[in-house]
Amino acid sequence: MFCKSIIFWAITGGGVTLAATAVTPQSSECLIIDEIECSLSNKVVEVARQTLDLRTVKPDTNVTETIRFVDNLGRKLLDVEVDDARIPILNEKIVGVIDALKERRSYKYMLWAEGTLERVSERFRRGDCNELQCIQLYLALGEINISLISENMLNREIMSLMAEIYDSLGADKKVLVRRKALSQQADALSRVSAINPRRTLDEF
Amino acid sequence: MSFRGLWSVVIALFAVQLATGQNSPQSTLNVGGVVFSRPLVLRSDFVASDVLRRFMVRSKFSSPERMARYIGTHPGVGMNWFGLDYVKDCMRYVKGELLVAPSPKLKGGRILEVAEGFDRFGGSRFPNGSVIMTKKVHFWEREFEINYRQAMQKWVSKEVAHNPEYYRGRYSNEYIEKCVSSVKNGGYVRTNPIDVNGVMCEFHHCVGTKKIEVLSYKDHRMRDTISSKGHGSGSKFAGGGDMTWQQKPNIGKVWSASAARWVSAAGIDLVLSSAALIAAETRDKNDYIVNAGSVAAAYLSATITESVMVNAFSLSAGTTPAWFGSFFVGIGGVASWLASGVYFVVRSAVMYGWSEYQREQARRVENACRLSEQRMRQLVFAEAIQDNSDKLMCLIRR
Repeated sequence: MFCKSIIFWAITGGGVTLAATAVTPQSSECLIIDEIECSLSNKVVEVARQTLDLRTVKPDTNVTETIRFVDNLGRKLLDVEVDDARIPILNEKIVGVIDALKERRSYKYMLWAEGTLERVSERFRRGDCNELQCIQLYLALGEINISLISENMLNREIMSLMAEIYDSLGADKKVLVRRKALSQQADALSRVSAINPRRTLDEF
Repeated sequence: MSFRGLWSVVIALFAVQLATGQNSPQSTLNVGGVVFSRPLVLRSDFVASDVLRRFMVRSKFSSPERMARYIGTHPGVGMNWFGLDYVKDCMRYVKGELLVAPSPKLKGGRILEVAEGFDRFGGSRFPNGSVIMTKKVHFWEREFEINYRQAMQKWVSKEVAHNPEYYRGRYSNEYIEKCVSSVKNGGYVRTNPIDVNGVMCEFHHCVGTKKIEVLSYKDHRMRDTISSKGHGSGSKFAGGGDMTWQQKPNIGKVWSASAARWVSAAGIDLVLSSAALIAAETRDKNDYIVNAGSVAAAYLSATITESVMVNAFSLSAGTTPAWFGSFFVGIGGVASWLASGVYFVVRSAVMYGWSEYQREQARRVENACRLSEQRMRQLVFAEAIQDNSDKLMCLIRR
């Protein structure tokens, strides 16, 4: 009698269990979509909650990595072959998030440029810089790629401060600065890693 | 200094030179309330060079005083025709150190003899008969001293010869007789007067540079004794009476002449610089005020400098109001040069200070604008980043 009960349990309850835990292809695709959605949310929330402060912002590739991460999520989503209504929405969301993150990266770049400008300006206008320090300040400003800055006032400030620092240098130091700036420019063009490379958006 | 500024300074100097170079000599000279003037009559044996003749005619000198006044105020001009000692005399005459207009001496030392009486004793005579004697200072040339002494001897000889009875009892009879006979023969006694006691009289002269004094002997008959009053070697003219010492540094005259020159210079400078400001379309009234203030400060400094210099070193006086002026006339007094330098230094310093002040103000405003712009940019960035964060959150929650 006990054996009969066991067999019955095995047939009824156990069968049910087996049916519930079995992984069908459709359900696994759904899981992936969930996972993508969850990862996207977590990452975006993490980035959105990150404070961007003028004094602490630096080229740390954080946003760029996030963009890459979201982009990868988008690629993963493309690989999902199940016909799910959430996919287009999620796709659209990913595209929107990437755009927003790129925008954020651009702001972060400008914020960094603003911080650099403030730091250099403060140091230079204190008036106790020797020529070598002035060169360092000039090169620090030279790291900013003004073509990536859409804020005109900031652009003008950076350029005028650079001109001011350049004018304060002696003739021999001007030559040095020009050579360094030239190599900086050449490095930027050739994409070869340089001592003082011009910062790109990918670094933010 | 900008080119425009430099050019206006040059024009100003030129104008100053023109304005101040036209000081016409006065026809009369007022000394101690006595006004005197005398026509200049050249002797027939005087042969002046053509240049000098033209100069004389052009200048319309009618008296040695006018001529001395002109040369004294234009030493550079005088140096072209006359000897240095004459020019110096004229300068001293203008300053009041010399009350007698000197006889014009050409460069070679030849004296231009003038009207009768003028060269009687190398000095001059007031219309009322008062005799003016000139003082001597220790740096005076030996030649002058000799001339002076000879002139005095000549004059006293003539005076005594014409009035022998008057001087009897004052000078020795022997001296009086000598005078009469010498003058009759067309000469004079070549010694100083000898009084009744047989003592030779000394013509008075002062020695010293610090105290500028002028002797004035009121009585043309020399009745009075010149008392030394502790100055110099003293005088022992025969007879009693007293000698009047008149301290006539004529500082007022020097100051007024100096002030007049600098007033005209500063006035022209003010007019031209104001015109330049107007031409530059300067609208800030402070620019005009500071410009006028700098001219006033420069004027005061220059006048005071020149006066102090002239008081301290009388021969340093010149007539050129500016160093640029000396380029035209060839000579200028050290005091004038120094005063001109002070004028332009003060003027430039004030204007430089003003422009620096304006620049500093502009720098402050610019800095304030820069900080405002910076704060505004930072606010804009903060807002944009916040919007971006909201946008991301919104995308996720959608």
